[in-house]
Amino acid sequence: MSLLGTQLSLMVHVFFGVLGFTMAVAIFVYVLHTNDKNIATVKKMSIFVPLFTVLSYLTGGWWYVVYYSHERDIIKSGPWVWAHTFFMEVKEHLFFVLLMLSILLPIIIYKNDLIGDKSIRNLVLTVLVLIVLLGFSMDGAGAIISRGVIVGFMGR
Amino acid sequence: MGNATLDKKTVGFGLSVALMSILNSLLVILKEMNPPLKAGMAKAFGHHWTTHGIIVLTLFVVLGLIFSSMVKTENWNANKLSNTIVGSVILGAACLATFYLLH
Repeated sequence: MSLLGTQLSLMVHVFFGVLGFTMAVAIFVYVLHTNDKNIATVKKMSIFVPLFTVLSYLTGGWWYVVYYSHERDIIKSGPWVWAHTFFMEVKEHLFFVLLMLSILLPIIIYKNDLIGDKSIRNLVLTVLVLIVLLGFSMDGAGAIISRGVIVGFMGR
Repeated sequence: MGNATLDKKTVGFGLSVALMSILNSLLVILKEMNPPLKAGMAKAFGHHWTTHGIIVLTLFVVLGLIFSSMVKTENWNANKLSNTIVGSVILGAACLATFYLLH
């Protein structure tokens, strides 16, 4: 694949990831004000969180397995070795928790009575907060890893 | 109103997320401390991370279905499930971060 293609595929990974946790933020606001009128919207939106997260997983995973080793070598040759040894290692494994929480979200929303029970709404809000926090962590770690590559190049 | 009975699949898959958040970190520690295991995982599906993902996600689905069929929903309310998930995710993340800080 061309250089542009590999970089675009990485951007698609980030795009779907950000879209996933942005959708989680939107659902959070809806769930705070759940009623008969918006519950159908909440249900529909909840499907898109795992969908976007899975798409982010597949595009990022493909890029990681096929292309990341070159960037890893650059990071490890520079002064920000920890961009790989800590941030990438934690990111690539913690992502699975984000993925599982994303899949759990529509199960809770579709299978329970959100309108009638505040504790179930709180459970949904808790899962959403975890998704958003993990999403931001993934995003931040990704930024540090990208800077690690640049710092690696600068050191050459 | 509050503390309505949760659906079986909610409890089952909620518990599966909680358990797999911890097992995911334990599998990381196990493979990093055991190079032959990591090499075997790399051989199985081309990359250790691919195999790791397949194991974690398959177990998540299988355990979710098993827990859903076994769980007594009267023993679980939304607050208890919420606390279990939050505690497990924090524990799993802390294990991962601590391991890679020290590794």
